[in-house]
Amino acid sequence: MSVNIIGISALYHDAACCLLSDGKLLAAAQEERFSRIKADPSMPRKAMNYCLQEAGLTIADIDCVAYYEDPKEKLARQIWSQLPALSESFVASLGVGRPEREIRELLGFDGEIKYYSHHMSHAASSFYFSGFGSAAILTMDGVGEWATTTYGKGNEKGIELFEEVHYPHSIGLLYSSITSYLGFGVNDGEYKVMGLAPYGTPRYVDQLYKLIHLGANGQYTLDMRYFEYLKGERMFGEALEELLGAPARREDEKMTAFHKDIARSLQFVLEDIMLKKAAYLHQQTGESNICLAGGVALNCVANGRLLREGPFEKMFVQPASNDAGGSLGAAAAAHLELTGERASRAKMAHVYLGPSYDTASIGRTLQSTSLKYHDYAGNEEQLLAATAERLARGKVIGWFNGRMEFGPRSLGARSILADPRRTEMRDRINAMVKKREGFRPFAPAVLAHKASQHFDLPHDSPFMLETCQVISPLDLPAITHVDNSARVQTVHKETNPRFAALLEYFDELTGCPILLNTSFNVKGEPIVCDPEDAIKCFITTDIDCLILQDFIIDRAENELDALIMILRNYDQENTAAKGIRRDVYTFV
Amino acid sequence: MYNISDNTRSLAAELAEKIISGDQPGTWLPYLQPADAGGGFVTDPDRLFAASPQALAGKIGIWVADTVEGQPCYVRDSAKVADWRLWSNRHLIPATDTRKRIVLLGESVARGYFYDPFYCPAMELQQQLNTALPQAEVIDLAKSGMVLEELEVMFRSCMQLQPAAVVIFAGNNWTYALKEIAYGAAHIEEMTQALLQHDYNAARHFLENQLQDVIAAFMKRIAATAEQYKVPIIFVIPEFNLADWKSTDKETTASRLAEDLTNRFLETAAAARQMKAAGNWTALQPLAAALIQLDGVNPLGYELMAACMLAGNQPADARKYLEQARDTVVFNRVENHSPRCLTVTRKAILRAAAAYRFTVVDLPEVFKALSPNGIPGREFFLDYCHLTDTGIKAAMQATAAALAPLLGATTGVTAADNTAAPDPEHRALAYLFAASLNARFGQPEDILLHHCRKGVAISDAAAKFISLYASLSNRRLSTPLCKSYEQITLEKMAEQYNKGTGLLHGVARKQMDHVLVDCMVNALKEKGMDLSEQVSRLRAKEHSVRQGSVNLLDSFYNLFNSYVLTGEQDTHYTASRPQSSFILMADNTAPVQVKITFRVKNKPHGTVRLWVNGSMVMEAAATENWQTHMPEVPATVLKNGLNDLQLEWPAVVPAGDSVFSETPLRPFASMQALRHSLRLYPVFGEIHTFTVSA
Repeated sequence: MSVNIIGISALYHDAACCLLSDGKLLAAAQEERFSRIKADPSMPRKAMNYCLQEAGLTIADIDCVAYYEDPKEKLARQIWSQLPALSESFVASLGVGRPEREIRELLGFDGEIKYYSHHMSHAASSFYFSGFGSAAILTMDGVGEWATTTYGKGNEKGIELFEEVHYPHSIGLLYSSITSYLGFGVNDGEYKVMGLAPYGTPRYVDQLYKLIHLGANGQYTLDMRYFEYLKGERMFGEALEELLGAPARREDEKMTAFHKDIARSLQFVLEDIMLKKAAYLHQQTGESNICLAGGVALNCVANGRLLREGPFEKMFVQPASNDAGGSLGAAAAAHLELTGERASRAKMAHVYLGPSYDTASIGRTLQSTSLKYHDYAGNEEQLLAATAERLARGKVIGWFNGRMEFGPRSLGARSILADPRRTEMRDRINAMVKKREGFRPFAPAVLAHKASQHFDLPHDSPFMLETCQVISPLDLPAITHVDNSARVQTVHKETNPRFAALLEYFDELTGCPILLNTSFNVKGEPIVCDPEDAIKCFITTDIDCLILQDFIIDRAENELDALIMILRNYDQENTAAKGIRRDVYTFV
Repeated sequence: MYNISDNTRSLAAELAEKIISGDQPGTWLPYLQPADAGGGFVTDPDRLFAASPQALAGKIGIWVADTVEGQPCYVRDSAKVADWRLWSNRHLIPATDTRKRIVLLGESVARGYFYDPFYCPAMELQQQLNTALPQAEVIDLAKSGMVLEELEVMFRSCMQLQPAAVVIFAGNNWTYALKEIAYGAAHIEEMTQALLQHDYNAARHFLENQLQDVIAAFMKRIAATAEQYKVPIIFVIPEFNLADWKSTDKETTASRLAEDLTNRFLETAAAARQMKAAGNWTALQPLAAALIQLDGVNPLGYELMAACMLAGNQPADARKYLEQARDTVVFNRVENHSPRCLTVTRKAILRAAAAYRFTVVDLPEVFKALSPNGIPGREFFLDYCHLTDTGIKAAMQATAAALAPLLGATTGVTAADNTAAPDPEHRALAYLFAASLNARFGQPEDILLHHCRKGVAISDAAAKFISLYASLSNRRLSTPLCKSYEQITLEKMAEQYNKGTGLLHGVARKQMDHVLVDCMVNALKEKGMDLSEQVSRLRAKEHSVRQGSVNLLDSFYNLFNSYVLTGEQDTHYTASRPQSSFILMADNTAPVQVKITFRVKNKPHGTVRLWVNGSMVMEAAATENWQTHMPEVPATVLKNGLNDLQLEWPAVVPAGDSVFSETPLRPFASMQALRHSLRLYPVFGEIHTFTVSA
């Protein structure tokens, strides 16, 4: 008799669902990919149906739903944040009991529900998928229930979180507050600040260290005179603007050296604190391995530095370190509790846990459109040769291949690809394809066995979660950041054979086993999920060619003006007022 | 406040414990701030309409102040290009004009929905005024989907055009104002008391009073603005398609009533439908009366009673019942009901008109006089409220007749002024678009066929459109990406119907519209053009179970999903009726395998049966827990083409499954939220998985 567990994270941001069957992760997906609402927080109805379908199970086969937060603890923190002005309307807005109510009513699950704290879910999402027998665990994010940072240890018996930093003191919210000060969206722009940092100089470290006081052990406190997120209107106060000597940047305002220096200083402070607290964690646990999770663990620059300069020998970062990954942790924790056994002893090898689409259905889809396309069904070699040839000619490729990735990164299943040797690629893709800020860097995907020839990276990096220096004899301007760093994905034929084969073809053609790889979406939209999403993204951006599994569609062979106009009208009909607020965390 | 003291944290924990354990608010309300404990919600309707004069300066809807060739004017704002399709396609309006300016404000009925931009009430009004007011100009500021709040903003902002008169042709969308109001504890208590009377009628009257107050406040402010600018107003009160617009299956679904009354309603409704089918009006009448008595906010009883009255040649009484059926939507049982002007709306306009001396064109009276039995129908309406060209002409003739003397005309409207009309192609397309909208609202086949036949009869353009429409409807691909939709756009057949966007479905909610497509095909066949083979082939290619596993819970195959009742898309199907209907594209060459996971909550008794084309293929005892069955459907039961699947649930609602037993006491952010929480409909069964494979 199998033990089937659904893991869920929801009702805050980045809702997701996973299905763990006898400890094996069969499927996982974020709700945003199906609903097409960026960071969709709602109960993952479509994602759960997908997981069941993928596993060939029905709701009747599910033994337990594991939820990634403790609703009562969270409610207490929400109430505390309003005291003493707690109002009837505020209580009404909290949706008390919503997780259970929605699991019962919206998901239709009538069995056992287990709750795990937010940071326990993060910790479990990392440790139980790390392949480590034992490890130190560090989780950092904005906030869950009360905890914002936790220190723990995992071994055969399970996970113990032995120390916590409590809200409102939060390294994640510090980073988000400065992100907001710099004119970027909260829970969305942190990655941009990290990308901006290498353009600046850490001139404001002293000022930023006035915002945070490092306490004993794992503790730290924020000086709340500078922050306003407790009031729920904005992240920071006027005191911060006075401290930094300049008003906050508006979203449409020009980026100056000052803003870059602030970003660099913030990144410096984050890395400094992470190194210090990791040293404490190492001292407490004596472990040589460390597992990271929580939104802060998506800061791959800090991760890289921690591994290089910190006390730990090996590091595992949960590739879905944002709240979506909490679903994995909750499910794995429930598995241990129900069976007495750890879900998996193997290291998570890939994140291709989402839906895939068969060639016949994609063919029917294309036949229903006016698009002209080339059909390579049953002829992978020609498909890859044709794709590599287009890349070598400087074409920007939309690459839709196999099962969708779980987590925030595109890793060769739903990717935009280009030749990294071309100087113009970064600006072109930022402006015309991704429609985003020009300073943002792109990441390289490299054949795993050739990675060390081009990057100072002594180990695999399949999830694009750390940065390293570029040492390639090739000139790679499109993926090399201003500080000569790159955020590398090593590609393995065992986990994504077609993507690895494409890199081989490109290498054979050009002598370069590397491709620029960025997520297949435009600014403000989730990564594409199904063939229709990919076609729409292709039509409305400046992508030259769409590789839709076994089919190639070339922009140059299609007249797309009418479709662009139609899709614009359709989007206006369907996407009004979607999404979550960007200027502040919605703590309630 | 920023330090987590043990005291505040333990207080927070204590409150959280009380709240989450379901304690009544009384136990934790004492902790609340006294000033807010009575409800910090919007309760003043005036607060809904807080547009300041400064905010309106230089803006009139999508038009903004500009200067063109040295002349001040208003031009369409390119930043609002997404909204242009909802308005007149006039690009430039001079700021001033020597002619008398008549501004027409209103909603889609005033836009001439289905005909716009080729023909609309403003064009007709302009034409009708040719003789009486040759120097008058009608400025069309009507907008599809305009709600009460926007109407007031438009009324204020259109004063910048210095109108000689303003015609307001609106009232269909005003019930939506109720959704915008958030209710405080006092209102919730009032609503609760109404529900505790075990009668939805009391709650309905509460909402009617609310709507009346909102309209009265609106009228008062409109009157003040009109007085300030010395501008006369003519209100054109819309009429509803009383004869031909039927309440849908979702609208006649039984509510959860007190005690055992839901079961009585279901039994009575079943008996009534039988009597109606048999034409036994004598037996039907008391059953219809009983349905009205059982549930006054369900339109079914009123409509059946109207049928009895019509059969008995009592059209005046029939009309009253049809009006009552129309008015039930104020309780808003169904998400997104079709817009309409209610009795309470009409009376509120008439009352205000008398008080503030507005002129009124009362279309209910106009169309009543023009209809042989006093009940207007398809001659004047394309759907629930949008008018045919005949209807538009009649409405604008009456408006012109009222307007002319108001602006000093000495001659009236003449026959020579009655020449405006849409050309045949656009008129034909209007009928086909109307057929599409009627189908989306689940209207009967005969009215769909009527609109299709009209379209086909008027212009050959209909055949081309039908061919493309049949193609896009049967594709799994979402409509905007379909080659056939692109062709409709490129061939300029999508200029009407809000630039063709009316043909689109919501994301993941595309339907096959098979009844409509069949009506279109049949209408064409009558003209000697047969598309049926082509349609069958495409359906098989796109939807046949032979192409791969079919999920019957997809919007294509699920003919009555919970979304239409609640607006929520659950992971699973909720049956609000004792039978659930699905369609399956298959053939009779081989058996197919069904996989179904279902449950029946609340102490079920009886059995669940699955029928395919009238043959039972599964029978199982109802259980509270999910159960999975995998019956095989023999090839002999299947037919080529669309197959009918019916799931029959135990038809009895458990005693005590009543909305009134769980009347909420806690505060809600809005009446909409309260309505959702009530769970107005019984649940006969739920399906989590329902697939068919070859």
